[in-house]
Amino acid sequence: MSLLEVKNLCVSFPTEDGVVEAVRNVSFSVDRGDVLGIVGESGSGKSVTSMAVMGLLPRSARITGQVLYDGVDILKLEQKQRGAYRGNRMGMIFQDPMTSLNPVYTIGWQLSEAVRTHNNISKKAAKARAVELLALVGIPQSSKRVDAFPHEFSGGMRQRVMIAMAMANNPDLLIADEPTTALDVTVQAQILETLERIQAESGIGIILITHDLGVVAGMSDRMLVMYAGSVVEDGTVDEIFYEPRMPYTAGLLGAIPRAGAAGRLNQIKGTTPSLINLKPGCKFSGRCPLVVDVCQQTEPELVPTDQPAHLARCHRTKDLIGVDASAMFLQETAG
Amino acid sequence: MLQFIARRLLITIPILFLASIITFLLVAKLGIPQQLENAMSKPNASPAAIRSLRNQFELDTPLFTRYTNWISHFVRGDFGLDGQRTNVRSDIWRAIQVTLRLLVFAQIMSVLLGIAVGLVSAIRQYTAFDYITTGAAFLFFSIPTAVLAGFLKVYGIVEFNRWARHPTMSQAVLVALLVIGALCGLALTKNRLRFSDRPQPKKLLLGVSAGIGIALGFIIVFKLGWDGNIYRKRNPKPLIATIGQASDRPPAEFFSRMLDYFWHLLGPSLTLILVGFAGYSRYMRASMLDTLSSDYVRTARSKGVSEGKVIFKHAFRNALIPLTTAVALDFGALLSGAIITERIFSWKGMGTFFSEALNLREPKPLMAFVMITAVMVVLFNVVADVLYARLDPRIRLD
Ligand SMILES: Nc1ncnc2c1ncn2[C@@H]1O[C@H](COP(=O)(O)OP(=O)(O)OP(=O)(O)O)[C@@H](O)[C@H]1O
Ligand code: SF4
Ligand SMILES: [Mg+2]
Repeated sequence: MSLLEVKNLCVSFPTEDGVVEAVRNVSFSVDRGDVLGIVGESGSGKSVTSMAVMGLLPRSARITGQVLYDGVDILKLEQKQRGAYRGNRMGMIFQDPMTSLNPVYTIGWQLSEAVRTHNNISKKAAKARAVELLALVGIPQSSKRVDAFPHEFSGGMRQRVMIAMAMANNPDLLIADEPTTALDVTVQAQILETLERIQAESGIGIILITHDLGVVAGMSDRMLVMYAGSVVEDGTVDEIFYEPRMPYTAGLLGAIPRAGAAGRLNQIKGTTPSLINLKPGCKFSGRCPLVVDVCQQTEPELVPTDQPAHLARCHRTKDLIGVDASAMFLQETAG
Repeated sequence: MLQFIARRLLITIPILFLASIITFLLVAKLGIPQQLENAMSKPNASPAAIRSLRNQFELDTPLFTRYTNWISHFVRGDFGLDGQRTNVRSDIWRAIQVTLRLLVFAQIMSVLLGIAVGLVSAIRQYTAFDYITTGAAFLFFSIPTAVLAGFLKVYGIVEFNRWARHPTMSQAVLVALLVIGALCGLALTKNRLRFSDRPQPKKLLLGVSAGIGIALGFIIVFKLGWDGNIYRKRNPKPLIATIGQASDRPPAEFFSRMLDYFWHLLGPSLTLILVGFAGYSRYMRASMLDTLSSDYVRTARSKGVSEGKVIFKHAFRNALIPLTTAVALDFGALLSGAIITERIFSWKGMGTFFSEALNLREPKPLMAFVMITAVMVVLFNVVADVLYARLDPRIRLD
């Protein structure tokens, strides 16, 4: 049994303009010790998926499917039982460390709150734990810094505090939603190192959401590529990087600058489709260089490709075997 | 902190000084005092009387000397005499007491009401409660105070007093009250408030009994005349006063005197509370919506903190910061009185003091009024800054 198993997760938001189908039929699993990468462009449903797992979606969200945590469907739990998971058995860190901490409380107070919410211990003991957590994420002079306010910390330090907070109760699962996007490059590397070290020490499962394919390549074992609310490719990092079986992924890979590659940076032309009143057919068909008639009529299933553990959602998977697919986008832009 | 306060207070001295010069000039340019004008327009005005009045108002002294005379007395606490040769200081002190009685009460009530209503309508955004309070706030905010006060006085209080003289209630009204009470109780206990995630046990029972309690309270007070009749047996006047800040001869006994003050306070303070609450509730609602959708509130939720604690310890605590500053500034403006409301309910507070002094073009009372209100505004500006720094650790005072 996996630590976390998400099955056919669908999330939609009723709005004034119509129902936004933010996540459709997403399934994946994460084990202790795994790092699952999720990539995809803005609005593809990465955050909504992770918020659904954490139980942080607004009440207006309609959620179906299953989120099994150690075999228990946590979507079906009462609020109170659900709260016992959040922050205790699973923690989350967010994109913007500058605004993720409450400005009016000290770092120590906020860490203690995380500890005391799930453990019946004294304030003093919680504070000691806070100091210990700060040391764990590599904050120097942690016994002194614990009394500082968030604004006295830099962005990178604040993100470390967020990691410490998520780890406060030794969860088995950590969700990191673009943990480095808002930070500059050197700090990014330090944060990723911290995450890697913590993962190695504690053996937790991590879901790492990012725009940055380099980050996924460095840290993950498996990855999901999301597009317009659904998973379009699922496989090991190597499989997906070297042999993408879906044109969108190929396009994404083409967009990473590679040393020695000739030509300019490729970009996938066009924009993501609206998630309201989704049209039938492949959601990528409006931008796909390989589009054929059937793509516009039926939506492809997420099915195994020539590599059994590598799934892709495309009618023309076979046509991508052995082709440098990113070149197609290059030709497109050149031609 | 102390240093900051000292420095801020020091800067206020030249500001107040400048303000005093400007207002002194403006007051001098208002024209000759009404009293002098009256004397001069009499057909048989004696030149001696006019001259003595001109002397009294120092009209023939150069402006500069007049100013230095005035300010040298003023800073020593001598506010001078008005045209009737009464002491301006004791006059204005009386007006201040009256105004404070009205405005401090009204201000505190409107802040509390505004915070409570703003808080709940932010938590329950786009519910009936939110729409109703939003509508009410816009109504009270946009309606001119004079209209609101007049309406309350004529259609609210006067009508109510007439009814309270012979309080009767038909069976139908009684039943309606019971039902409304029960509904209110239900609404209060329904778990829509989202303060807590816990389902509330025995909601219905609790709601209905709370409602019946509210309705019974109503019946006891008004149908059986628990308060109204007993009070009126000793006192034939209407229950809720519409004129003045106290009875002409207020009862000597402490409790009765307070009650007398209270019935006089009700009308004007209700006006001010409705207007003030409208502003504060909108402000609080916006502020609260802002913090509720903030990243740190999401972080708190992700820690598993209960919804009640998320709302009060995280969202509410931060939403109070801007509100506190605004309230502190408003308290500074309090002493200028509520001119319109005071006039409609015939209170002799600062508002009335000012408008009378202005009508009579009396320099001493006008200057006293302007300087005292200016000092209060400046002081409460410092108070607002200090409070802001206390509440928000990001702000440093130096
Ligand atoms: N509360 C909501 N109401 C309506 N629509 C929403 C809501 N939350 C998210 N969405 C929509 O769901 C879609 C997916 O959003 P999501 O935040 O998951 O994207 P993302 O993949 O995380 O993008 P990014 O990389 O920009 O973070 C977006 O189109 C967004 O507008
Ligand atoms: S299904 Fe068709 S349109 Fe969609 S990605 Fe595959 S080839 Fe392109
Ligand atoms: Mg996101």
